[in-house]
Amino acid sequence: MKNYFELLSIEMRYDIDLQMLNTQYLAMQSKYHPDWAKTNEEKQSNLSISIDINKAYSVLKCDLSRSKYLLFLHNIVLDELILKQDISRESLDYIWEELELVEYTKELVDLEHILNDKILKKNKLLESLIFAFQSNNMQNALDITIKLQYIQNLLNKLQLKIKNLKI
Amino acid sequence: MQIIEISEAGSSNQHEHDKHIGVGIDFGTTNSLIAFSNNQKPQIIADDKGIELLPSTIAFSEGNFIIGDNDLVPNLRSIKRFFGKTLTDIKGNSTLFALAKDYIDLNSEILRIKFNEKLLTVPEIAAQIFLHLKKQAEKTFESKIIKAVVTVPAHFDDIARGEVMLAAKIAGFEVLRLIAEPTAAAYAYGLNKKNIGCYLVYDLGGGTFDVSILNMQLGILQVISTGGDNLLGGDDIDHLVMNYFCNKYNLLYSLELMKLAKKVKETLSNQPKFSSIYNKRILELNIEEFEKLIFPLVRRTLMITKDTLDNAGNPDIAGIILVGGSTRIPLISHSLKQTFNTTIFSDIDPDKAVVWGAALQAENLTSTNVSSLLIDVVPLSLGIELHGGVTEKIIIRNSPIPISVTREFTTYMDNQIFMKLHVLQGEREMVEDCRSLAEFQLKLPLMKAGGVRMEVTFSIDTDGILSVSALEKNSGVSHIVEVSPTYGLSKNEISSILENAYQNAINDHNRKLLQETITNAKSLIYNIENAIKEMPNLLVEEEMQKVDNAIKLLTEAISLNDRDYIIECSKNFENVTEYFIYERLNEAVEGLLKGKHIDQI
Repeated sequence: MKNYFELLSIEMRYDIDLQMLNTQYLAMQSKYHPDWAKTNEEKQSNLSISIDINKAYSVLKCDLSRSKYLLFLHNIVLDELILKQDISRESLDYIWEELELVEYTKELVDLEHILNDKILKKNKLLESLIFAFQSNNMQNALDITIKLQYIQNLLNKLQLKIKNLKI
Repeated sequence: MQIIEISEAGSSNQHEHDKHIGVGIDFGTTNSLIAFSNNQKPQIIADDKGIELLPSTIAFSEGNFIIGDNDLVPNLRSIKRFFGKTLTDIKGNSTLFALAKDYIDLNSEILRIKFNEKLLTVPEIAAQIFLHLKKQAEKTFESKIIKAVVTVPAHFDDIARGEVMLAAKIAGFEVLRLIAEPTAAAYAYGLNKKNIGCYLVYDLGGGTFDVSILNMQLGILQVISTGGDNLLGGDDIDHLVMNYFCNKYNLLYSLELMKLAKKVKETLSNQPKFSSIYNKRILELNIEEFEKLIFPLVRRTLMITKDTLDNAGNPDIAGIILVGGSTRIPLISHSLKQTFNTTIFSDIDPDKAVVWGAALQAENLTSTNVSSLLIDVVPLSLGIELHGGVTEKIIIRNSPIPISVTREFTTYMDNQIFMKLHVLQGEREMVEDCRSLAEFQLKLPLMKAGGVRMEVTFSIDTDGILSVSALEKNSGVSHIVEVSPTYGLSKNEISSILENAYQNAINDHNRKLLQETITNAKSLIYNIENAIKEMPNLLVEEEMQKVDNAIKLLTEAISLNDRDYIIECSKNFENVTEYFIYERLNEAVEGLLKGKHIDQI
């Protein structure tokens, strides 16, 4: 049973080359896409392979899901339970504050300011995440990933609110 | 584990390649086209007058549907805008309502259109356009055309897509696949063969606006993200112009004024001023006023475009492809150039790019020498309803297909008998803001709350068809849930529509044959009667009587409308009159010869 990295023939690491990922993905699809199958049987078997290739691509393309997947490969499963358990009281308060801030800010300018601020924070987290995986510090990677999850949620909310204000 | 069964309609176990001709169809809001591709060279199939664009208008006159005549009134236009819409949708949109108000049956729950004193659904009416195109193609190829790739706006939800497929099916087509219009247009440009890069397709049609970001390389066209607005198109520009005229010149809405308004955008694409006479007045509109008028609409399209680019991760765009007649408006290409600072491609006629792409894909799917691959995405998220009226997304939009996602759900009450599986489509959080695709009740084994393990799998195959299955892991009971996008029509209704269509096709054909036979018979009689007038004394009494009888018999047969009987009588007629004709010919020759010496012959 191949893992997603093996399926797309790319090196198993967190800081993958996204360009390479794309090229590999397309190369695999050109091999296994059902449209290019010659017989019906081939079409059928290619269909499930193609689905797996798409799955692998989607997971590895996104920073957050890639991190979760790498943790999974190290037998650490980040689910609802861990998300709630492993978060400290301070972090929880902090997160709650941030959410409220987004909720109550009305001005577009202010919201965009917060957005850019959070994007910078996210990029910092990603940097430390790369380091954590490189030094095989899985506990650290887990902590950062949890923070990454929360900041991503925040970013999504912000982007949606900004979009609605602009319409 | 088998996920989905693919069945090729009407084929046996192994077919290496399909010999049937596959056509591409662009069913447009304003115009519809049909094309065919051979050796990667698409060509539009024109009608017998050489016209390639068929106006998507439907009228009814003297027992027949008349398609494509813009001048015939009353006629129903822009029927594409009604696909997937409910009566509530139409009532809530002024442009749509204006288009539909003369035809809607306000008493019906689902959308039904009053046409020719019958209440028809949108697919049934739209089928007439498909049928017209089919006949056009069959005439050109002199053989049956069945397989087709049909394009739809990238943003059409599953219900609208289902109605398009149904319309094509009613007309007798087997739809190989529905592909997105921007994808088809990009395909037509063949950029994936020559260049590598990300391209943006800006498709402003008559009734819909679509944006797609595509990555092209290695002979593969990969859709990265899509966006758009189902209720925004060139029609809306016409409406703005018409309202402008109504306000400025104190006029009332009329079909004539609407026609005039439609000409404005075409005129102002080449000239700085539009002026025309209407009701003894001169109506004028210059380019500056026009651009001011439509700027909010154009700005909205730019915003949607920016949004879609964001969703794609803001890649570098190598070029923008313009699709749709309305993109000829200078303001649009100028705005795009200004905002995105990149090459604008419009060398393929923006009215034709889509059908070319569809024809190319049809060729791909019906032959073995395939050189290009289209990887499309799910345009709208799919999910299910959770307790509390909330939508839980299972397949996220812009995920590449084919895709299969499995999630486990459980009960919140003890001994729950049924679990509702409500399949939804859309991006919003609440069920009421999403499009309902299907709803099922799954029978459960009696267990405590949280004990039930219902595994639900959403799968979309390469043809874009959704299938949902559910497996209760404790009991092992599985359900395959049919998400057939036949909104508003029951299975029986659809079967009967299809049957009717088939029957109608046969009837139409028979009626045509009968007409031809009658015409032939009538001309036989006419010729003989003329001949008799010219030479009344050629035949003796008896013979004359025979001929008279034959004429009477044939005339009677014609009035009975019995084709076989007419053919029989015609044969008899020809036998009887053969002698007469022979005699006449002799007489004529003799007459000719009478005054001539043998030397002169």
